[in-house]
Amino acid sequence: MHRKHQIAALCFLAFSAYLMWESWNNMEYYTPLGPGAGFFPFWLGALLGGLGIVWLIQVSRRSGNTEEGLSLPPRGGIVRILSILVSVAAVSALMDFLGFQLAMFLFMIFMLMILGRQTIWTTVIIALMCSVGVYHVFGRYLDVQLPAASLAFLARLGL
Amino acid sequence: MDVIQNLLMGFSIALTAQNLLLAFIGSLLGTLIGVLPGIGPAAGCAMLIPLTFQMGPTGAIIMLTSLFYGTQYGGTVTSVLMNVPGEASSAITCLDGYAMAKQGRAGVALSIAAIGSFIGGTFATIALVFAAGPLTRWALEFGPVEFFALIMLGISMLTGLAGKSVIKALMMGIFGLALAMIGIDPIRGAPRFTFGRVELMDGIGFVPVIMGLFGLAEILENAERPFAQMVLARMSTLIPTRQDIRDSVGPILRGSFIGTALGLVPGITNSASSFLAYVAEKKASKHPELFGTGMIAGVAGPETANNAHANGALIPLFTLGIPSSPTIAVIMGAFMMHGLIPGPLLFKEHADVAWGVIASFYVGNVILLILNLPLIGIWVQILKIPYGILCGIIMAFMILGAYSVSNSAFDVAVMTLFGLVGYLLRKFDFPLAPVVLTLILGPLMERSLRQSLEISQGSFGIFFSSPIAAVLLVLAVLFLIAPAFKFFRKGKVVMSGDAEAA
Amino acid sequence: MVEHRISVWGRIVLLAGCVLAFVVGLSPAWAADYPQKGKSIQLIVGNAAGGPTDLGARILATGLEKELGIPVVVVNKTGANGQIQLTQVALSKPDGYTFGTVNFPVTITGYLDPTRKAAYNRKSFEPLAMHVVDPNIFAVLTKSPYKTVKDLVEAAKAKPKTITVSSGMRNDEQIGIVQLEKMTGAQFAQVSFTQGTAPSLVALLGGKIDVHCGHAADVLGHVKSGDVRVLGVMDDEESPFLPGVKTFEAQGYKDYSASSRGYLLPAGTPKEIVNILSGAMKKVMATEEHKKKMAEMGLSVRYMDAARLGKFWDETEAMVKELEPMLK
Repeated sequence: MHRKHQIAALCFLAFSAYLMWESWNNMEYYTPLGPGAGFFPFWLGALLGGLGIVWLIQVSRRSGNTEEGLSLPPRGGIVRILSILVSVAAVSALMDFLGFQLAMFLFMIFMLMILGRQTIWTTVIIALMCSVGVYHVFGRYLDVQLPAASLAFLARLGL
Repeated sequence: MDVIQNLLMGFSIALTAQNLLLAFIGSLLGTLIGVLPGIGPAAGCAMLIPLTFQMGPTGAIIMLTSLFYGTQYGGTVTSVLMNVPGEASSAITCLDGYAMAKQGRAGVALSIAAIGSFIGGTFATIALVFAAGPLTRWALEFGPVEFFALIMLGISMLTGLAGKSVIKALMMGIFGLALAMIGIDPIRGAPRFTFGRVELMDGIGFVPVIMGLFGLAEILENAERPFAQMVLARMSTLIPTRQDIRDSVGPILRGSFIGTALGLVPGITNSASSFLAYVAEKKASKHPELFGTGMIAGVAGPETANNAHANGALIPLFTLGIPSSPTIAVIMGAFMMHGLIPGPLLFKEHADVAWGVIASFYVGNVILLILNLPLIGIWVQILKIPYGILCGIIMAFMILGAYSVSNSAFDVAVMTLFGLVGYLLRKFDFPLAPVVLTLILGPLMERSLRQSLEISQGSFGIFFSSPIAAVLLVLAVLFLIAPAFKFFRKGKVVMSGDAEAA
Repeated sequence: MVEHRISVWGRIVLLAGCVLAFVVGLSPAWAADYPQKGKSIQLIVGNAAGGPTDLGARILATGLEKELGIPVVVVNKTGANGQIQLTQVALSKPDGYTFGTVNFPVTITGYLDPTRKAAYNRKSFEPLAMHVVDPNIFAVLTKSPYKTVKDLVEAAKAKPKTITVSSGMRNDEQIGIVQLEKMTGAQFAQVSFTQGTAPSLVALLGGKIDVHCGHAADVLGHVKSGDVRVLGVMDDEESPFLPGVKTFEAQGYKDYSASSRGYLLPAGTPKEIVNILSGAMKKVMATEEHKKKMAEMGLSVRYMDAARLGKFWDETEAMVKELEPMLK
C-alpha cells in the first residue's frame, strides 16, 4: 500500500523536473547584476526534487499497516467530488457566453437539487437569489459588472 | 502636553454627530465589504470616493479610513464560518478559526477576533500619536536591502509552520515559492511560467488560490459523504470563557506589535503581517502541535495583527505622505482631491483635519467593536442552514469572490484547480499554511533582491554593509537551521512521527 | 431514437442561435443615432480602482454622462500592464459603446515587446482623445549635492553606474532616464521599482537611492516641507504644481517624458462616432470643475483630439523603437 504515496512523490518529482527544465532552457540563469529569471525557479526545482526523493524513500520504507491514514473516498464520494469540480470549471468556462446569471442559475440548481437534495422550491428561490439577485446587486451597488451573455439571443433576453 | 491638547481637539471634531455617523457608515460598509470575498478594501474605498465629493475633507476621510479597517474585521467572518477568507489578510484565520467553528465555538472565535482587532487598531493609533517620529525614522531604514532581509526572515519562518514533518512543510514552502515565480519576472520584465496566458502575467491570483486551497478543498472533503449526513456542530456559546481570554492576552499583545511594526514598512501587505503573527504564536505556544485544531491563539494573533497593520500603515501616510498599500493610495487620493497633501505639513497647515482623522481612528475602532459584537450573533446563524443549502451558497460565494478580484472568469478556473490540488494535498497530510506564506512573500523576495543588486551593481556585499539587514539575515539562517538540528538529533523520531501522520 | 431526437433539437437550437447572432452582429452601428437613448457606454479601465488613471476616468465619466445623456459605466479590467484590458477593447464591437483607457508609453512598450505576445498593435485601435499628460521629474533630497540636472549628469559621467535612480520596466520613467543617458553619454544605476511610488520614495527619503524619478504628485508634500528638491521636469513647459522648477529643456537637455493617459476605441469605429465622443470629452475637460478636481490630484488636463492623439501615438512609437536596445 505504498503505491499512492509513491505516486504522489513522483508527481512532485515531475513538477520539480518541469521547473528545472523550463527555467534552464527558456530563462536566463545569471545576469551581470545577479541572479536571472531562471535562477530561483531552477534551484527551487532542485530543492523540491531533493526533498521529494527523501519523502519517496521515507514512504517506501514504511511497513504497510501504517498507511491507514490515507483513505480513498467511496465511489459515490469520488463522483460527487468530480461533479463539483467539473461544474465549477463549467461555470468559469461558460460564464462569458451564457452570462453570469444563467451559468450561476444552472450551477446552483445542480448544487442544491442534485447534490444537496433540496426541494424544487428552495432550490429555485435560492438559485434565483444567487444568480439574478447577485448580478443586479453587484452591478448596481458594488460596481462589479458580472459578465452578461455574449451569445446574442441570450443577450436579447437581458441575461 | 501638546499632543494631548491636539488630540482633545481632534476628539471634539471626531465626536460631532455627523462624523460619528460617517464613521459608523464606513465601519458598517467596511465590515460588509470585508465579508464579501473578492471585493477588497481598495475597491471599496474607490467606490465610495465619488460619494465623498460633497463632504468636507474630515468627514470624507473618516468614512474612508473606517471602511478600510472595517474590512480587516469583516474578512474574519467568512474565514471562521465557511473556511473562505473574505479578505486575503484573514486567510490564516481559516486554520484555527474554522476548526473552532466545527467545535461549536465560532462565536468565541469571532468575539476574540473583534476584541483583538479593537486592541490592535487602538495600539497602532496610540503609536501614531505618541511615537510617529521615531517610528517613521525606523521605517525609513527599510530600503530594498533591509526589505529583502526581512522577507528572507519571513520565509525562514515556514519551518515553524511545520506539522509533524519538516520535510513536508519545506516541500510546501517551495511549492508556494514556485507558484510565486509565475508572471512577469522582476529581472528582465519577461513573462515566466505563464503558459501564454495574459491573465497570469501579474502572477497567479492570491485570492483565487487560497479560496481553492481552503474553501473549495474543504467542500470537496465534505463531499466524500452525502451532504445530508453532514451535521455542523451546534452553537453552544458566544461568550469566551475566562480561559479563552487568558489564552488570548499574549497573542493580542504580540499581534499588536507585529502588525504595527510591519505596517510601517511600505510594501509589506497585511496578509504578511497576519501570517507572521500566526507563526509567532505557534513558536511561542507550549502546544505548537495543537495549532490547526482550533487554538484561540491562532485566531487572536493574526486578527489583531491585521488590524494593527491597517492602522499602522497609516503612520507613513501621515508622517511622510507615503501610501504604503494600494488601499492607502486610494485614501491618499481622497486627501488630495480635497486639496490636502498628506505628510508632515498636514499637521501644520490643517491641524484640525489631521487630528480629527486621528481621533476618529479611536472612535472608529470603538464603533467597530460595538457594531461587531452584536453582529456575531447574527453571523453564526448562518451555521444553522442545512449543509445541503449552505454548501451551494458557499460555492456561489467563492465563484463570485474569485471572479470579482479582477473581473475575470480565469480566476474561477484557477480556484477550481487549486481546490483539487488542496484536496489532494490534505489527503496526503501536507500542511497548507507554508504554501500561502511563501506565495505572499515570494514575489517580494525576488524583486527586492534585484533592486538591492541594482543599487550595488551586482555586489552581494551590500547585504552586510547594512547592520539591520545583516542581523535579519543571520536570524533567518538560524531559523532555517534550528529544525534541521532537531531533525538530525532525533532524525528517527521525526521520521516515525511522519509515518504516523500519513 | 430518443437520443436522435435530442440531437435534432439541439441542432435546431444551435442553428437558431447562430442565425440570431448573425443578424444581431450584422446590424450596423448607425452613427446618426449615436448616442442612442436606453443604451449605455462601457469605459474599460486597465488600472485598478482608486489609482490616478481610474479616478481620472471616473471623473470624466460623470461629466460624459451629463454631456451624452446616457450612462457611462466604468469597468476595471486590471492586469499585465493593461494588456488584458486592451485586448478586450480591441476585440469589442466598434460601435462607440465600448471604449477604454490607454497609457503611454507603457501600452506601446507592451505591444512592442515580443515576449508579451500582445494580440494587438497600433492598428487595432482608433485614438479618441488625450486626457492627462503627467511629466516625469527628477527629485533628490534637499541635502543632496546635486542642484541641477547638469550636476547630476556630470557626476554620472565622472563615475558611471554609481548614481542610483529609481526606474521602472519599459515605462515612462525608464524612457526618461535612457533618453537622458543617450543624449549625454552618462550612465546611471537604474533601480527598478515596479510597484507604485511608495517603495521608491521611501528609498529616497531613507537615503538608499540618490534620485527618485517619478511625477509631481509623488513629491508635492515633500517639496513644500523642504525635504525634497526637484531638479527638473521632463516637459516643454513648467509644471503648475512645481512653480520655479525648470524644465529639462530649459537646462539644455531635450528630454521629454511623461505618463500620458488618453482614451481609445476599437479600430473600425465610424469617424462620426469618434468625433461625437471626442467632442463631448473636450467639453467636459474644458469645464472648471473638471480641471479643478484633476488639479487637486496633481494632474493637469491636456486635451488632444483624435487626430492629434494619433500623431502623438505614432511619434511616441517611433521614439520607443529607437530606444528599444536600451530598454530591458
